[in-house]
Amino acid sequence: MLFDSYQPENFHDEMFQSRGCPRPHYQAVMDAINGLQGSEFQQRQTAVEAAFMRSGVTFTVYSDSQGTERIFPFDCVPRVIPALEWQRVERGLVQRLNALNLFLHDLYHDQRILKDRVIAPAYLLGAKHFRREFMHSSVPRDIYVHICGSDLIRDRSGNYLVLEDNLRCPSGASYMLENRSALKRSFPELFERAGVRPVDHYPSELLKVLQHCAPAQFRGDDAPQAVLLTPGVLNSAYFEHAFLARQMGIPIVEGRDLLVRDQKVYMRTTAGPLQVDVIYRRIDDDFLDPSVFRPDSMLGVPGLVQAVRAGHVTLANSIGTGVADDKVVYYFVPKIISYYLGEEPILPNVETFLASEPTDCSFILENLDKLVVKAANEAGGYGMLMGPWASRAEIEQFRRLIEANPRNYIAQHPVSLSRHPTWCGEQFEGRHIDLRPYILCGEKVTVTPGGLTRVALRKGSLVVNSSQGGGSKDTWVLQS
Amino acid sequence: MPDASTQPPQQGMRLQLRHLTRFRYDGPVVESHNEIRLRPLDDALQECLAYELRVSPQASVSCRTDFHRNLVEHFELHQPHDCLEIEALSTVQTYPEIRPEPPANLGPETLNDPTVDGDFFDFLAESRLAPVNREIWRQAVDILGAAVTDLWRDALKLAGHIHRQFSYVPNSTAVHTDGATALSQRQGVCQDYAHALISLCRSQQIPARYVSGYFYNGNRGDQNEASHAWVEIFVPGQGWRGWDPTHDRAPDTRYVRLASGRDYQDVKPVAGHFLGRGTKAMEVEVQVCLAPPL
Repeated sequence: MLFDSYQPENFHDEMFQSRGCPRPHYQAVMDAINGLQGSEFQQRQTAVEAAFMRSGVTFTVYSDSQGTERIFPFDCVPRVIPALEWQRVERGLVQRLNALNLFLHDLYHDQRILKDRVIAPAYLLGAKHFRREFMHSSVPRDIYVHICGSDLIRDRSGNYLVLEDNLRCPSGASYMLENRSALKRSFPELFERAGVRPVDHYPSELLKVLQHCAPAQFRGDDAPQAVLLTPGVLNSAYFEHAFLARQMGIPIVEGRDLLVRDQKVYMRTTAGPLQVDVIYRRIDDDFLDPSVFRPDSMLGVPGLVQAVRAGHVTLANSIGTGVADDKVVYYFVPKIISYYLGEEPILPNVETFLASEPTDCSFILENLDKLVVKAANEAGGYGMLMGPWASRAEIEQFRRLIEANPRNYIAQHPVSLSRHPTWCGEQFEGRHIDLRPYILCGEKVTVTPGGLTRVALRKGSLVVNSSQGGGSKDTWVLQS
Repeated sequence: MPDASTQPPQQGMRLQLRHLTRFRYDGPVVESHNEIRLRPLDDALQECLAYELRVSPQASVSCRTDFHRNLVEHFELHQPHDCLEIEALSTVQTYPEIRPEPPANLGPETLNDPTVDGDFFDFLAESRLAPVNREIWRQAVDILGAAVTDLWRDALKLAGHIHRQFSYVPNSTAVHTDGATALSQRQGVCQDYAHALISLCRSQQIPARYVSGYFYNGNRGDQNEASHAWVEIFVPGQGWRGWDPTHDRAPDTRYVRLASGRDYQDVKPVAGHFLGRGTKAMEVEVQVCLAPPL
């Protein structure tokens, strides 16, 4: 039987309590897969990959000489989350997004949180993605983040922790939907029996959110006109842009398809200009409008920002949300939650230390060999110290860096991500996973049950990014 | 711009201002979006009595207040044009400073006093044209010789240093030259003096901001040099107070303020974007003169 030789080892394993002993909510999955030969499983796996390739479920690797488009590797063993566990995750995510939306509104208006000295102003006002151009400018229904993708991980005891929030243009929802339909095709009988909550309504929910946040002075009785603004076919997430636009039944446009007249946005059509009310933009702030942000942007729409300011068009997500997913601001999210909601955070952060807070700083300096240190304004693994694996010299170098400029560093305990059985060609092996759920904020905040489970396919690797050898799984949230 | 006179007027002045910007394009421009910051501010030190913005070709102008409470006017053009003229005409009454000299020894810790109200946070962090780095910090420490104990007087010490070290050399820098470059070149125009002082101040946690405006030069010299820039320092309990590092003195009633911000980027008098081939020429005319008596 396929799972006989599987070793959970010394990690939190999603499927097995101990060797040969599955958690109750995985029993059905185990039974179904154990009934197969290795070659049969491989066959279904290959069929899914071929189907993804044929239908173009791909992403783009910018610096790859092998041809730019690749499929997102898919693993046929679903990740299963029991109903009770999910309820807590869901409540935690809703709480977090509510607090972040209140925070953004405050930050771009009265800045009470700064005046009450909850967060030192320099952290926010000096943040790279703080958009002072949008101070005192209101957004419809005070919703800044309409679509949020927070990354969750589980530690050694199985607790869910938030690793980061993505509040700008979170991607991956299309893979969540494609993974579901692939799994339904490869294990129809299992899926039927398992009682899995559906995810297929995501595009229609998203469309409702977009229409809900149409400008207050919306002009007519028809449904508001929404469009999806993409940077174009060379963007790594273009498949997703096309997919979601098609699923929602809204036009997909590039910057050059839109124009601004009298602070209103129009789409060029064969029947003349057509006014646009809501833009689901998949373009970063910097590129939105060359007359306000980067003057060299060819992707944006001149005058768009003024149209937003005039309240004639809504952007989802709004401008300036990136300030709240900054690494240093992440540290403050638990404080943000209690400041605005008066509640304790349901989903904790990974414990983080800010080198600029004196007590944290001395702790960091005493424990450099046990911590992961990250530069606050770097991304992609640069400026990072992995304490437990670092040499004496590297540690001393970071000690000097932190002492010289404490404001620029944060530190975290290394988290051993939970593992999940994953097909590795001939047998199942444990691989580290995370979870990106999709949270929508319209009339109320909702979380699509499930999300995108990403797998680090390389043995021992903790990196789940698709550009770095990551794959994905279907994520099942059970009905009961 | 440099000015030889030393006697500041004791009385307020009524000044008339004209600021014309003319763009000539290489070919017809079919679409343009523009932001204008040319309306003088209203506060205790000056009052804008009349203001008019003329745009040719004609456009409808809307306005808003930006983050730094400057008035921004915005217009779009959609008809093809080869030339764009933006002309701002205003009349301003200035008033002498009546606040007493800032009390001594208001150090950086007074900024944390919860009763101190002021949006100075933004002017402590570095910005694109007023960067802060180790060398700038070092230089400021060397000039002051000790930690900051008096925000206002220490800022003036830094300004005095710039005034002594710098030479005023037109065309030695460009509009996007930052404070760090100005400090190492030790020359430039008023904009560079201002950015250099702001960089030095912020490196010592003294809140400093950039002011753009005009200077009435008694109808002497080249009228087109009447555009000027200087700095304001935040003084707890008093608010923002100006200092002109180019002349090493406090601005008086000959100064008219248009806008303030973190650096020049925030206060550009005319900024915009157009679809067309390119700009052949940009001309600016600025005139500041005494308004006729009522």
